[in-house]
Amino acid sequence: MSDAIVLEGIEKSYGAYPVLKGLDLAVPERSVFAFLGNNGHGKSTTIRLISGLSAPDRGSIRLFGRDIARARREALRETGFLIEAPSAYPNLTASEFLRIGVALKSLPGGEIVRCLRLVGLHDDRDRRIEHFSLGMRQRLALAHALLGAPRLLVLDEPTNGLDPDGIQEIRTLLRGLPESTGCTIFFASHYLDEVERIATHLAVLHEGRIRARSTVDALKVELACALALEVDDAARAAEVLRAQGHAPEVGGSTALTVPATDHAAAGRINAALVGAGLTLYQSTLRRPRLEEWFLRLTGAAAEGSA
Amino acid sequence: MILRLCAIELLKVRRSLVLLMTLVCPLAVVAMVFGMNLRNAAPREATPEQWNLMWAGVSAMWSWFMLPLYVALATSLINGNEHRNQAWRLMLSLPIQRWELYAAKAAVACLLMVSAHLVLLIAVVGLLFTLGAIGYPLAGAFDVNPRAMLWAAPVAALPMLAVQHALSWRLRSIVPPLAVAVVATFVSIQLGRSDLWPLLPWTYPLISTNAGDAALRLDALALALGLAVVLFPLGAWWAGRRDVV
Repeated sequence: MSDAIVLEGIEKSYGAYPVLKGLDLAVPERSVFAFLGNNGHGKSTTIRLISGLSAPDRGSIRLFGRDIARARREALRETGFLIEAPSAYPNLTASEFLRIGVALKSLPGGEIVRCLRLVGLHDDRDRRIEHFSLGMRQRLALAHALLGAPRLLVLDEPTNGLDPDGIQEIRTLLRGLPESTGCTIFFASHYLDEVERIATHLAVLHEGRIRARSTVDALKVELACALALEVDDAARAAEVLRAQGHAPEVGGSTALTVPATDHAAAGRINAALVGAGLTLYQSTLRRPRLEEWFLRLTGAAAEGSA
Repeated sequence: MILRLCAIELLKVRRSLVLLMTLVCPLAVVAMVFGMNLRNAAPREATPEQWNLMWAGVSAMWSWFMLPLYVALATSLINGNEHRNQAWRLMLSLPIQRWELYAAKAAVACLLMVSAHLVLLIAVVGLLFTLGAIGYPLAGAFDVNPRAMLWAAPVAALPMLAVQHALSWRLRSIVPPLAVAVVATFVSIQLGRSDLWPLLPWTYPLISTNAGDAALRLDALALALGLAVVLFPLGAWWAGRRDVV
């Protein structure tokens, strides 16, 4: 699989303040790539560089193999962006707004209808944007980004500021897009549950550098599950489980945890304990959430750099 | 691409304040000058001298006072379309160059300025015909110097427009460009009467239309054109180099 976006050795400063310090990143084609990071660590700057809104001090940016410094127009023609502009031009109607992208990307007029249908705004095509809700504006901005069925979608916090219904609408749309259009999605977010739900790949940006990069599936394996047990005699329960090849950790007279990959393994452990005559008060299969992993990662990085 | 961008910029000004201003500013000048002059004239006894005074009054009021303010407003509102809600990011992540957008916005501002000037001329002619229809003697009413009045002011205003456009492109707030226009307009009263007038482009429209000396009028026009030829490409080059934040 080739890469849709390649960033190599990107450095960017605002005045004396360095924001990106040698950023390297490759985004595989047809992936839904989540770009994570706390506010002020360079996510939006990276997206501005990818969209050509500003130029890096050092390094190169390639979209589908084209260097945007040398072939900006060609590189951007196959890319749709949603960069914090859901309220642009409130005096225009939805159709008029999309005419901007259609004209400047040299697309047929039918693209307006197709994209408005895709985001569920076709019936509102002649309404002025000033009468739209924030969720509708965000969907319209997404429709603008989708004009011409781009091979790459770059979205900066696509659900920022939306109410729960709006968030759900946008997530549902994004989840279905790669399958229906074959495009690559690169999105910045600090909603980690959003990443768990829609991303296939992720990278964590911290203090201007990539701190971790993984597929979401690999991360889920890495973040192994554990079975938290509460029994009448934790020490005896641990003996029973060790005899069966498990590696329990006793956390008190009645509490212990055992590594377990899934519900079937948890069921077998519970059955073994009950079979050995122990009383099982509680059994909970826990997977460390992405949020815990992220906090551990960025917290450790912050401590390391302090 | 520039033509497409011009069409897009015209699309963006639909239902906007800038179109309303294109009508209101010139009509306000015509209403003010005609109202003041006819109020003091004996009914239905207007002389050719009074009509000439009215033409000169409209020309001076427009070139010196309202045109600079209109240009400041128009350029601010056209660029304000992008400043509001960070729409720069939307426009400049499309496959266009920054200098192309700068040039298209300048072209649309010029087009609107010419439109406002045409509204002014049409309003004056229309008002004269209306007055004629209700019995005012129109002898000498159309006896104006077309070289001075009909096209000079918008051409002479080009350097002023280039400066206002650059300010409005760069600054998010509408206040500094308008303040520059107001201060420059008032400074141009003094400077326009001295040999230093070439230093301030805000004097060019008035001198090119209302100066008694034809050679001076031509000097103002030539200077305006020369400066515009330098300022517009310089502005586009500067705009193309800046980051969007």
